Order: sequence, then structure tokens, then C-alpha cells
Amino acid sequence: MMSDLKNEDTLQGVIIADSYDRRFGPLTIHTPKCLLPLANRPMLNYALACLKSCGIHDIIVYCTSHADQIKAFLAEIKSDLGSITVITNEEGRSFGDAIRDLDAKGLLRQNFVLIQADSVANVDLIPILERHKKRLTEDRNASMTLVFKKAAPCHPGRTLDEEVFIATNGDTNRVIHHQKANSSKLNVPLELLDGIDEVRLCFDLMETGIAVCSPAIPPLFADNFDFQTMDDFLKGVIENDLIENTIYLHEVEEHYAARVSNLLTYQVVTQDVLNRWSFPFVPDMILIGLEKTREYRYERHNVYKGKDVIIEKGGCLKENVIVGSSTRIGQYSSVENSSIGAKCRIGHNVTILNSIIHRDVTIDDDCYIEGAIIGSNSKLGPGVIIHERCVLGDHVEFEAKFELTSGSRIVSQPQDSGFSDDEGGEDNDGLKIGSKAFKYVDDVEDEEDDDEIEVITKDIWGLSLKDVHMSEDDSSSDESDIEGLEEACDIMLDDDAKFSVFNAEVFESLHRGFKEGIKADNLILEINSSRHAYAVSSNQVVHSVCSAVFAIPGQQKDLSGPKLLKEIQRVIKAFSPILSKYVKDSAAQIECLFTLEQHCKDHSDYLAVAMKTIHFLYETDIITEDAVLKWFGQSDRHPSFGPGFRKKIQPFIDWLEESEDDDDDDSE
Amino acid sequence: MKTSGYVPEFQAVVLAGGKGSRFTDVTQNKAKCLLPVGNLPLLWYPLNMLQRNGFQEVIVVVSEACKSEVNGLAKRYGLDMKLDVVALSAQEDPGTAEALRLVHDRISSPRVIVLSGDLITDLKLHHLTDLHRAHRSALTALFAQNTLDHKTIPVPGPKSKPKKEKDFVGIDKGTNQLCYISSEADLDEFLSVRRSLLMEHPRLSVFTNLIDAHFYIFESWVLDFLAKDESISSIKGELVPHLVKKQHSKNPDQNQPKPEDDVSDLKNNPNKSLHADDPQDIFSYMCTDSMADKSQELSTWTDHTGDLKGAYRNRPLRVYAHVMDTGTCLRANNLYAYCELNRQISRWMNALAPHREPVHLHPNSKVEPRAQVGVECQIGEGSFVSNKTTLKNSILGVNCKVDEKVKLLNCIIMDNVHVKEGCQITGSLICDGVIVPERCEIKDCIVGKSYKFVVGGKHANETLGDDQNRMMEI
Repeated sequence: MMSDLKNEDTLQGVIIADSYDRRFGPLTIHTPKCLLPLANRPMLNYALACLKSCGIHDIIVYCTSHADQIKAFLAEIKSDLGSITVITNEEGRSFGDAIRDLDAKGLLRQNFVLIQADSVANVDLIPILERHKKRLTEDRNASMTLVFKKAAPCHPGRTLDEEVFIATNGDTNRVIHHQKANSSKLNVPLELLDGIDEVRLCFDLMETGIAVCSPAIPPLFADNFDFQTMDDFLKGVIENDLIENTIYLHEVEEHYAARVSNLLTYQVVTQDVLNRWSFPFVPDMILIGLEKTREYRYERHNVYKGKDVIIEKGGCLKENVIVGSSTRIGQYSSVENSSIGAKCRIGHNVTILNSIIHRDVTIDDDCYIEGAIIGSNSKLGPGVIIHERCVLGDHVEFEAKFELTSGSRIVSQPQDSGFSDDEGGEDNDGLKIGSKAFKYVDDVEDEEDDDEIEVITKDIWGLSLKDVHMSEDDSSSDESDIEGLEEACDIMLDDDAKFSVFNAEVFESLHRGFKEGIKADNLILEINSSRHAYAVSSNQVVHSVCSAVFAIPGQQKDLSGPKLLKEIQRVIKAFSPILSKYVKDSAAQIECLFTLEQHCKDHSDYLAVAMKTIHFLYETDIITEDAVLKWFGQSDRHPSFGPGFRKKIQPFIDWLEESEDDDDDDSE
Repeated sequence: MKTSGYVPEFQAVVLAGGKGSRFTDVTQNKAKCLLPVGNLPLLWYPLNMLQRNGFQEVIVVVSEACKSEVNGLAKRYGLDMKLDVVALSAQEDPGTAEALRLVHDRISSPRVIVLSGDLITDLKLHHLTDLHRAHRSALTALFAQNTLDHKTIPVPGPKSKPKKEKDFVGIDKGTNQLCYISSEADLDEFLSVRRSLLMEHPRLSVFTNLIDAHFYIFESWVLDFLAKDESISSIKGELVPHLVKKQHSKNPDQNQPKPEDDVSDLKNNPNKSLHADDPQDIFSYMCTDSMADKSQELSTWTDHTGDLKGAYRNRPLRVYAHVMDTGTCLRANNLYAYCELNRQISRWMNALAPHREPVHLHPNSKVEPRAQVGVECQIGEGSFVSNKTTLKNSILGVNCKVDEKVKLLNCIIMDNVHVKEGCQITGSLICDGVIVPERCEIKDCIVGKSYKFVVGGKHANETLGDDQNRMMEI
């Protein structure tokens, strides 16, 4: 375009209007993610407003999926913005492709601000840009300043799949290590620490999707075709010795910055906007250049009402609520911590909590909706109950009194899956739960589940930290200490439900693995991924694995006595690599024995062979003598298991102690 | 020691039994704690520091060989304090923890200051004690910015590469809590930190340039634990890392009784195999102050942000670190530090011992009028410097004699050394009783106790001992 005429000081902003993932599943089938409403405004508006408020008028919007819609949307508001260039490329498959394309087109010739379309920030970018330029004079390889928001580890906006560990040079803020926090340890290669006096390990940072880049960045992507995501890029630049470019960190402390990276943060950021953290980007303010009229009235308790909202007698907008224009809320209905789009019809006695409801949705009387997201034009019959973490796509309809279990994802039409020929066959029957409601199938999951990161992001909601923290505490118990076991026991009682699902999955994996002779490594991978998904502690894993191993021989009917023992031994032998992987330290071994004890209590036929089983475990070096003795000593922590079992084991304990005496004698 | 009913809050223990294994070329000639630094024995400096901070009694652990000399040290060098000298037996080479176990029964105070006998510092002790008291810390350690640069300091003797001795010290800068410690030699490829640790300390500064001053304040119950757990041999290598790690464990005794109280059938068993190799957990030694706990519980103060847990997240055991960023803090535990200390000591003396008169030339020494002696030089008691000599940046011990036309530059010369006419010695360290004959040229050498020079000999970058084989042995 007019690059030749461009003044050096013109500031350029690049918005990548696609997140290249499917985390918004059902909602993004017909609408691009960046046009989904966030507090009843298209998400893209916040990124545009952020750039605009900083005086960045030369904006490039790069679109991939649903590009025509974005183009049409921008065409509507374009007149008020400075120069806005829309680039579409339906082929692009990743963030890296987008930057490569921009590089090929030669559009990025100076320092520019890169911002994701799903970022919400009221940060002043100009000082960051100035700092970036100044840094270039100190370190000519400084090519990117990443903007992170400071957020303590329990911050609600943080989700497990987006957490990062960052190590920086304490003196210069140069990023020396960047690692997704999906492992239990932060590992900084020692070679990177050379010559650095103070290494700052940061776990209080949250991605914002904003970065200030120098013109050296796009060619870097072009040179390295394996850079697909921003993480690839960071890893490559930091770890590859051949790339000399350096990356710096900027922390946002006072301002607001966040990214709507998954459904959980979709809700959290919506609430933040309603709570005015993102001021001046709040519903009752005009986003300059993007809007002409004030659409919302701001009332106390953070209630925002559009034009012509009708609230019938007894209807109540409690707090932190936005209601779009021409929406009607029926008698005695209450809404709290929620966003409701325009032209919705809410019936009588409806309760809506912590939810996001898009436009033109009809909700009939006596519905109960908590923690859900409902796409536009959906219809809920009277008395429908929707539980937490449900997502409904567009045009979904539910008949009266339907109850949707938590975590469901629903679309209005069966998906054409592409490979299954028998359309409408058994497959779809299984998915159909209403005339206009089908379970959503995410085909991404199947494609690459060998990647550990992929496994974690499987839950499209994004894992809430609350679920993890419990097990977090006890991860310190990897030290071979008894205390770890005790902590784990407390947890078992706490989130039983999750654990039992995990239990079932482990049993399923191992049982299938035993029958089909699947390699131990693959099974370990499978167990680990379930473990991440359900956020269970290491001791719970031990418990599940052991109880599965003990239960498998019992699957065959009519086994008892020596035959059963033989079968048990065969199973243990087959799984010995797995057992030795999980039953490592003494705490785990003790857990293993408790599991056996429990199992024997539930299955009396095992009682007879329990001692031999322990002996076999001892002989195969899965458990040590110490563990047996310690476990035996701790009997009364589970008094309900009864003394009968212990009596059965007594001869083995005696034998162990005797043999130890012998050892002592020998050594003297 | 325990004569009256008064028990001081702090007792001090100086561990000076170290063999100086990092610079045996020098320490084979003289015990490390008695090596001269600015014509005072090394051990004088930590003792002086304690005296400056108000200590009147100090327990000193030394090797058997120098017990008698250390006994008289306080009196001889004008320290007004009572030394309780404990000797380590000569044969074994006990670790620091072993040395501490040796004096365990002499500890009656609730807190103990343990420091290394080779530490030279102008620390204001209250920085450390305040931190210790404020957080009711189990252990408070002293670290200092490393001001030595191995590349720029010339040292005598053959060129050698400094060993990997870097420590990684992780400190939460908000509270000074010591959260992580490991040494370079223990790590393979990665500096690895647990996620759970970062959850509690989301901003952790890991320093790579700090020197561990080996200066600790312990609660005395930590020593009770140490006395029982014989498997720990070194304070820095094992005890400190153990305490640092235990900070993040819950106290197991708070909720449930100890397992062995309930095991009746094993009690009869004299073998006691169950806990034979399982020393009691450190928490069972812990002394807590219930009033302080209560007030902490009632207070709204907390040491962290980000969650609503109580102060310290209700962890009972805490370790803190104070980092000195100004002033002097050096350990004479290697040749670099030892030489540098000798060079700089006259400048630091004012801060280290404000009330002591700087001794440039000892009153009982004699320097002839036409000798050129730089102001930064120190000449010891009974030494004699002839005319036509030049001394710069050098330290001369007791009863030395320097003949005419001698040039000494950057030298450390110990006691009873005779440098004869026409010698030129630069950057060297000469031990007790050496006679340097006429016209020798010695550059950057370490000269052992009874080395016999040849007249007019030239040496550079060598270690000169009386018997090379003996050195190999050591």
C-alpha cells in the first residue's frame, strides 16, 4: 500500500484475528471467535480500542477463519478508524503462518505492536514501545518485548493450560527461559545462566497476547518454518544458539490486561469488564472511533442496561449484570454475575447465575442456568436446567424439563464429520439428545494426542486452578516421606467424584492393555494424560494403578486359591514396568499395600492369597521390606479394615523380621 | 560456662578446625586459623567481630594441634573475651556438623550463632538477628555479594582454574525467605525448581554470585536434631538444604499422633527394625512458642499476597537469609581470597576494628631511614628493614630481616624470614623461617617453610616446598 510514503514514526499495530484453536468449540462454528460478544461487544473491539487509545492508527487485521464476516464487520466501522488494512488468508493454519504471510507481503517494516484479537487491555503501550526502542540501543539484538500481567498464582484469570514459568535476568529483564507450566518442575538449563548474577524465576505472570516487536521478527518466522505458535517461537529464539535475537519482558502491574484464551477466561474477563477493571473499556463508555452512541446505562451494583430493557414485576438484576437492548426479563426472575445479549426473552421464575447468554435467546419459565454459555437464537423450554460448564452453540433447542449434565457441549445440527460415510447412522443417534441438540464432537482431540500439551488443553474450558490447588500442596510429597501419604489421604476424601472417574479410566486402560498386550510406555502415557485431565495427586495415581492391577485377575470368573494367585502373579509380572514406574518411593509402596488391603476387604477371595501376593510384590522388587514393615506398623489408621487381614500377613512379617535378624548376625 | 542462672539469648560458636583443603600449598605450613592476615591470625577476625557485637564468651572448635596457641590468642592480641576452646581429635577430618555435635552439650541458649573461623566481615549483627527474631526463623544465614573476580586477582603459585563452587541461592526478595539452595556441582543440566515452591513464592530470585559466609543463626532445637541425626556431616551441604526443603512440608505431628506410639506388637520386638534407620523427623524436635503462635494467628499481618492463607501459609519451619550488599564479607578459604584479604586488609581495618589503632610499623620494629616503605605496608614486631630497600603493598611478619637493595612488591611474608641482599620478590607468599639468599628473583611463587634457595636463583609461578613428595601426599 502506501509504505513508501510512511513516516518512520507511524505506529503500526497488528491484530491476529484468529486463535488457531478449537477451544470455543460449538460457538465458533458459524461465528469467528473475535466477533463473539464480550460484555455484549465483539471481542475484536477491545483490541482495536486498545491500539486506538494509544494513538496507533495504522492497524493491520489478519483474518483466517470466517474472514468474510470480519471483513464485513470492519467495513461497517472502518470510516472512523485511521488506516485499517484487512488481510485474509483462509489457508493459514497457525499463528506462525500468519506472520510469515505478513512478512512475505512486506507489510511490517518497523517496530510494531502485535496484539491478539482476544486481548482486553487498558495498558498504555507507548511507554512500552519507547522502552523497546531504547533497549535496541543497548542491545541491538533486542527484538521483542513481551507484555505480561502480574497475577498471583491463585488469580482467577489464570488457567492451568495457559500458565507459564518465566526466568529472566534480574538486572535487564531479558527472558532467558520460557516454559509452559504443565509440568511439576521449572527446569532452566544451566548453560543459560552463565554470567547472570540474579535469575528471577517468575510464576506470577499471565499472558496478555500483546508484544512489541522489532522488524527482525517476521523474517525470523520466515526462516524457521517450524515456528507455528508463539510458544514455538519463544522456545526457538531462546534455546537456539544460532538465533541471536533476544526477548525482554514487560510487566503490567497497575493496568488491566488479559486474554480470552478459553471458555473459563471468557467468563472471568466478562466479569472483569463488568467490574470495570478494564476502564475505560466498559459497556457504558463509547469506544472512541468504534461507536457513536452510548448504548448502556450504568446502575449501581455494576448493572448495565441497554435501551428498552423490560424487567417485569419481581424481576431482579442482582449485581454484575449486563442486559442488551430490547431484552425482556420475566416476573420473579433473577440474574447475577451474567451477561445477556440483546432481544432475549427470559420467562418467569428463571434463575441465571455466572452465565453468558448471547443475543436472541429465548428462555422459558422456571429455567435454571448456572455457569453456562448459550449461543445466539437458542431456545430453552420451560423448566430446563443447565449445569456448570455447559456450552450451547447457536440455534440449539431444548424441550421442557430437560436437564443438561455439567460439562456438556451442544450444537444444533449433527456435524458432518468428514470421514464417517453412514451419515445419520448409529453414530448420530448416540449424539442426538433433542430435535435440535446434538453433542459436539471435537475432532482435534483425536488428531494429536501424543503431545502432552495437547492432552492438557483437551478440556476446552481450560482447567480452573481451584481444582488443582488441592493436589498441588501434596506434590511436595514426592520426597520419600510418610507425610505425603497422609496428605494424600485427606485429599481422597475431598474430591471423590473426580477421582472415581480417573479410577475408572485407569482400570479401563490397564484392562484393555492387558488383554491386547499394549506396550507399557503407551499405557503410562495414557495414565499420565488422564492424571493431568483430572488433576489427581501422585498418591492417588498409585492407588488407582494398584487397585486396577489387583482387580484385573478377578475379572475372570470362578478363580480362587492357587489359580487366582497364578493369575495375579501373571498380571503383576505383565505390569511390572508400570508398577515400578509409579510405585517408586516408600510412600507409594505403602499406598500400594493399603490398596491391596482395601481390595482384599472388598473381595474376600483375595484374602487367602494376600500374603503370597505381597511376597510376590516383594520378590519382584516392587515393594521393599521397609515399606512392608512401615505399612504393617500403620495398621490402625484404617481400623475398619479389620484385624483379620493383618493376621493373615503376620507370618510373612515374621519371616521378614527373621531374615533381617539373620542379616544382622551375618554382618557381625 | 553455666555458672550463673543467667542464660544469654545467643551463644556463639566459631568453627575453626578447617584444614584449608582448598589451598594446601599454604596451609600445610601453618594451621588455617593461625595464618596471618595483616599480621593478625585469621581467627582473630571472627572473634573480633563477635566482640564488637557484644559477645564476652565464645566457643571455639579447633584442631588438636593448635589448641594451646588458640587458648592464648585472645590475650595475646588484645581481645577481651573468654574463649572456650574445644579440640577436634587429630586423625579424623570431621565435617562441620560433626564439630557442632561436639559442642552440643555446651549450648544452653535458645539461639546459637555458628560461624566459620575464616570469615572476615564488618557485619552489623543486628541485621541478621532482627530478621531471625521477626520471623521466628529456624535458621538465618548470611550471604554476601561476591566482590572477588578470579580473573583479575594475581595469585602466587602455578596457574590453576578455579573449581566449580558456585551456589544457587533462591531468595524471595519480598520477605528474605531462603527458598532454594543448591550448588553448581550438584546440578547436571538444569536449575530445577518445583512448581509447588513457585506457587508459594511466585517471584523467586536465584542468585549465582553470592558467597555463603558460613554464618548462621540456629534455633537450639535444630542442634538437638543435628545431635541425633548422625548421618548429617556438613552444615552447608546437608543441614541447610534439609531445613530449606522442610520449610514446605506440613508438620506431621500437628494432626496425628506419631505412628510408633500406637504400634504395640512391634514394641516387644527388640530389633526395632521399623524405625532403626529412620531418624526422627525434624518437626518432633521443634520448640514452638504458643503465645507467639497465637498472636500470629490473631494478627492480620501476612507475609504474602495472592491467597488468604495465614501468615507463612501456616508452615511451622522457616529459613531466612540476609544478603550483605555493602561492606566487607570474605572468607579466607582459598588462595585468591587469602591473598586479596592481605592486600586489602589495611584499608578495611577501620571498619573491622574501629577502636584498634592501625599498625603500619610495629613500635618494636626498625625501619632504617633510607628504606622506602609504602603506607599500605605493615611491618611486624621485631622486624628490621635495611636502607636502600623498597617495600610496596607488602606485609612483613614478626622478626623478619630485610637486607639492603631488596625490592618487595605485593608480597606476604610470614614470620622469621630473612631476605638477603639484592633480592627482588614480587607477588609471592613466603612462609615462616625461610631464608632467601642473595640476588634471588622470585615472582608469583609460594615458598614453603624450609625451602632452601640457591644463591641468585630465579623462580616464577612455582610452589617451592622442602619436599615435593610430601606435598603430593597431602
